[in-house]
Amino acid sequence: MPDDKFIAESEKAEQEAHRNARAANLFDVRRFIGGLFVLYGLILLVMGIGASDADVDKAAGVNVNLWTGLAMLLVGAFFLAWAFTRPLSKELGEDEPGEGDRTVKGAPAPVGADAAALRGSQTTSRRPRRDRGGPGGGRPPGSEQG
Amino acid sequence: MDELRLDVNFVDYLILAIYFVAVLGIGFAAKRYIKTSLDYFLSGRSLPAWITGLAFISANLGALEILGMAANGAQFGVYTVHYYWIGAIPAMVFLGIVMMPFYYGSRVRSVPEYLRLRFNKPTHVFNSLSFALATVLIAGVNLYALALVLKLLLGWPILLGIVVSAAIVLVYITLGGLSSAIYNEVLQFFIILAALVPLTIVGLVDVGGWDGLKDRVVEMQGNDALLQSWDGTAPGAVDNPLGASWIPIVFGLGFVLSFGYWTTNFAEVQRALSAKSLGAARRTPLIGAYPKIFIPAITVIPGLIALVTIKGLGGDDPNMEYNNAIPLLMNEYLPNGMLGLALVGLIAAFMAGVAANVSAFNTVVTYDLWEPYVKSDQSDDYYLNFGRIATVAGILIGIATALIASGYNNIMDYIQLLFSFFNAPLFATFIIGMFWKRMTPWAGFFGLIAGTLAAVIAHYGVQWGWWDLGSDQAAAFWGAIAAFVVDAIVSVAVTFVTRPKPVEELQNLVYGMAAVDDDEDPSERVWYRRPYTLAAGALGLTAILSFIFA
Repeated sequence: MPDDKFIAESEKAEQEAHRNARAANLFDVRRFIGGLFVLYGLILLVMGIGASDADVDKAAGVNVNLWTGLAMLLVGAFFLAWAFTRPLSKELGEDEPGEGDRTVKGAPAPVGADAAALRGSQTTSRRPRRDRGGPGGGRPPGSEQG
Repeated sequence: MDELRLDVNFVDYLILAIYFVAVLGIGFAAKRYIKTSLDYFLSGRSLPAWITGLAFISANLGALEILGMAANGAQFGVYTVHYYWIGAIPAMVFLGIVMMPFYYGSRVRSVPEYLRLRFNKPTHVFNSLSFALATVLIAGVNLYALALVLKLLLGWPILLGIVVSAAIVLVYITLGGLSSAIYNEVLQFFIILAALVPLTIVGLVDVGGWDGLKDRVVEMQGNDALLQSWDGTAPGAVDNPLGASWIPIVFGLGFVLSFGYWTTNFAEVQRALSAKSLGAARRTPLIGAYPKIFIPAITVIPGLIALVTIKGLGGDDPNMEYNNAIPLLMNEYLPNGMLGLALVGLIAAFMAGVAANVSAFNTVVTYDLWEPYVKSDQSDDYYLNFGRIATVAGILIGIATALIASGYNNIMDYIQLLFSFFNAPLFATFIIGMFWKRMTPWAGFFGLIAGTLAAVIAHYGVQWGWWDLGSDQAAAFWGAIAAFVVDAIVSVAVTFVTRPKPVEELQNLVYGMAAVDDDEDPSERVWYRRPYTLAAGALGLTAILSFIFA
């Protein structure tokens, strides 16, 4: 495990950290669900308020647009609140510290041809998590080639 | 066919349009942030367990699953819960507790790659090819089934439906890779819940609640056979709607088919591999098991409701086949608005099924075939672009195979046949290879080939009139058993005449040499996060429910 490779990776990881944090928030699935549910909830709510007798009769006397709209609005609001009070970028940075470096701890070093193929990934997983630079961390591209 | 067409209006189409905009938006946003091929293929191995757990269950809860299980609910009644409580849950727990350390600990990117490390390159090539074939075939089934629903409900021509859905899936996976596929899958899961839960509640209100439903079923059938799950399953005295004793239910459905599906289906395993740590990867199927326990409530119950409220369901009219139970219920109960939402749920679920298989296909073609055997040592950008080309190719082949699927009367027959060819032999090889260090590389290769051939011969033997194995699904089931048994026998036989791998090369790959167990980690000591706690909870809940609905 050459040290210079190690340091270069750390620097690269820091540069990437900002991008990764933004990407994590952007792709926070809770925002997608929340946004879509709020929008759908509003549409159904409007449909429910203006529901005709025929609409209600069709659904066995339940104003299904109204109730589903309300429920979706609440669920959507819950997801948005969750996503903004606990941003994914933060959660990825602090959640389960040190777990990532444990996957192969204690195992004897592998030998043989297949070990070469594995080496790149295993050295990565042994490093402390803070050095991995957040969500996109892990192996550098192509290091699996061994 | 006209009398079935949904009465959709502009609000329903607005809801549909919003979904497509959101889906394509995710793809375009993802494109800006995807820099490395690892991001594209495994979402950078960065996701927390709650996301991968949701993605895991979402990947399974495709439209075929929803429509098929509702159809089973109408046809077999409460017996359908065996698919969930005997079939899925124990297999998901097994994957999380026993198998995930091998997959994640060995740092493979795909299921075939595990076979390369554990066995040898020929095994790897064979499995990669058969796997790539299986994924495009299943993607094609999803495309075809979606086109059928679009035709039935909206009157779109089959070909138009196939091409439009394929184009949308193509755009979002080509741009966003696995991240995009996973996020759409999760979105789809919530939308289909938002549509099916109200549909089930409205249906239950109409028939007078669960008790009212039971009364109506008994009244209609003249007995309560559809409301039992274990009655009449004694071997030799089989008298139940499923037509199976407890032996095929437990060993066939519960063991070969379910374990084979959940533990070797890459579309599923890939979700757990994108978790950020071994602990998160192990929790992925365990977290997914909890929603899975309750899915029968929105598939089996609507199936039973459809049985008692839709006149002529299961009759000779092709529009009235059991597979259409959910679309028929939508037509029966949902006003505009909810109708659009339910339509979005179905379409999204089918597209997610296509996307899951196509993204598994591009990973395997790029990393398991092209990179190691055709063009190695290229830049990361090269493989990223190659993956995108593979996606396009996968979709195009999927469209072509959709036309094969159209030759089968019952889509479930075709799916079960594919499982018997691809999953059953693979499961035998995996289970022996993981637990028996001595199993040799060539045993892996010849076992897989023999097992696959056995399933193929079982199928064509029926086609050519050599033997009769009952219904098509029963035949596929026997094919799966044949594949499993032949694979196991050949694997053991070849092992005794060939040289095993040196034990050092099996690090992290076989039982007893797995990655260190999580439970020693201090951060894992939170009791509710431990895999064993989650597993015990899921199994306990399943046992209680099985007892209540026995």
